[in-house]
Amino acid sequence: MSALTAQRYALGRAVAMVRDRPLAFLLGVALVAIALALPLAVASVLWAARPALAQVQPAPEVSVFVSIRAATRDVDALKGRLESIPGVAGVTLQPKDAALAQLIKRSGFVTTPAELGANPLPDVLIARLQLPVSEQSLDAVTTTVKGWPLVDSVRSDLDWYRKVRALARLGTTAFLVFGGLVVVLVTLILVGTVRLHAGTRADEVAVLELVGATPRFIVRPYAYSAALTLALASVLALAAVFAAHAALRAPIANLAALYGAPFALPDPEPIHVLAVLAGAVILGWAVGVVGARAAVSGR
Amino acid sequence: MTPATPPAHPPPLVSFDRVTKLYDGDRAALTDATFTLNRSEFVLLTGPSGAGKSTVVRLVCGLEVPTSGQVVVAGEDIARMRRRALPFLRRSLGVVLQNLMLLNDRSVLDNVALPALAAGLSHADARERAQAALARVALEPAVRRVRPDALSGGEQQRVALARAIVNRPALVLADEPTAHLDEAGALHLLQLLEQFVVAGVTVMMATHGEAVPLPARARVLRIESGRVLR
Repeated sequence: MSALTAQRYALGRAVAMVRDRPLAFLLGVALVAIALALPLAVASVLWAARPALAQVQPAPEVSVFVSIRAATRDVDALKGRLESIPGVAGVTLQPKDAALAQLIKRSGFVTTPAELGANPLPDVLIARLQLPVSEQSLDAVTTTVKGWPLVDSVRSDLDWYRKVRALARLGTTAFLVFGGLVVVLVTLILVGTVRLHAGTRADEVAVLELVGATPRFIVRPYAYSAALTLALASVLALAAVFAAHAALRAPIANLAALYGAPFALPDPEPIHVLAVLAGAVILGWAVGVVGARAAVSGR
Repeated sequence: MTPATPPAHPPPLVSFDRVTKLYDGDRAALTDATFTLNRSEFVLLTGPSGAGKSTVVRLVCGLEVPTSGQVVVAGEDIARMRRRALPFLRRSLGVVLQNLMLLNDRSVLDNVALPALAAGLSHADARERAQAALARVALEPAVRRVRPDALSGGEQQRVALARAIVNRPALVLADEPTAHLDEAGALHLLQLLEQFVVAGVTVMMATHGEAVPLPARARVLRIESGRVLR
C-alpha cells in the first residue's frame, strides 16, 4: 500500500509541476520531439527499405570462363563440380549464345549470330558464394577452379564486394553515431532541465529531507516528469514519422516504378512504435532520477 | 545465567558529548557542549541570538554533523549514521525551524500530511492524521484548505507545529517558535508543547526571548557564545 501511495504522490506532484510551468514543459517536449524525429524517420525509412536493400546487396561471385572447345555436357559437368564446392551457394550458367545475342543487340550491328560463323564468346559459369566470405576462401575457390581442365580463366569480384560492404558499414556506423549523438544530446538537455527545475524547488526538497523523506521519494516526481516529457516527445516524433511516411509514400512509389522496382513505403511496425515509447519512458525515468539526484546532492 | 534486568534509568533520548561545531573551518558555533535530553522532558535552550541554539537543533536532526565530539539521538551516532538511515531517524523527530519552511504551492492540510506520506502512510491515513494534528494545534477547519501564505504568522506557526507532530514523534524540536507570536499566542504554544510532554514526548525549545513565560516543568539550558552553561 505504501509503495502505491508513494507512486501516486509522485505522479500527482509531477502533474502539478507540469501545471505550474506549462509553457516550459511544452517547449521541452517540442525540443526533444524535433531532436528525435529525424533519426527516427531515417531509421524507419531504412527499415522499410530493408528488403529492397537486401536484394541489391551483392554476394561475392566467381566467374568461370569455360573454354570454347567445351561441349554442352562438359559445361554441365563443370557446373555440377562447381556446385559441389563447399561455400558455393549456387551456380548459374550464362550461355555463350545468349551472351552473343545480347552483345549484338547492344552493339546495334544489323547482323545475326549465324552470319558471324563460330561464336567467339565462351560459356560463363557464375558461382555465388555463401555469406560471410573471407578473402582466403575466395582465393581458395579461385585457385582450385583455375586448375580444372576446360577452364580458360577465373575472375572474382572480391574488391567490388569489399567496397560495397565498406560503404554499407560506413553508412550504418554514421547512422548509429548520429542516432547516438541525438540520444546523448536529448539526455543531456533533459538532465540539465531536471537539475535546474529541482534546483528551483530547493525549498520543497529541504522540507522533504527535514520530514524524513528518502532520496527516492524526493526524486520520484522528477523521474515521472521527465518520463512524461520524453513519452510525449516520442509520441510527437512518431506522429511526425507517420506524417513523413504518408507524404513520401506516393513520390517514392513513383520513383521506384520508373526503375521497374515495386517498392512501397509501409508505416512503422507497431512493435517498433511500442519499443520507441517504452525506451523513451525508461530513458526519461533514468534521466529524471539522475538530474534530480544531481540537484539534491549538490545542495 | 542471570536474567537481564531493565536499567533503572533509561538512556537519554539525546546526548551531546564534548561537541564542537565549526563553520568555515574556524568559526565556532558550538564549543565543547555536553548535555543530555531525557525522555518526556521539556528543555528550554535559551540564549541570545547567535549563541548556537539553532546549531544544536540542526545537529540533533542531522542537518549538520559535529566537527568533533559525539551527538547521539535515539541511540544513533549522528556523525556515523549511514545517509540512507537518516530519513528514518528524522521520522521520529518533529522539527519546527525558525524559517517555518511551509510550502505555499499546496494547502495547509497537504503541508501537514506530507511527513506522513513520506513515512509511507496511505493517502487517506495521512490526511486523517493531518486533520488530527491540525485539531491538536487548534486550527480552524476552515483554514485547512487554504495555502499557508494566506494565514497569519501565528497560524503558520501552528501549521508548522502540526506538521512536526503528525508522525507522532518521540522528540519535538522547536527553534524560536514564539518569535513571531504575541504574548497570548506564545502562551498558547507553550501550553501545547507542555501537553506533548505530558503525553510522553520530549520537547526541546530554543528561544532567546525573556518575554516567554517559562513552563514550570521545564529544564533550562543556557547557551552563550557557543558554550552550554550549567
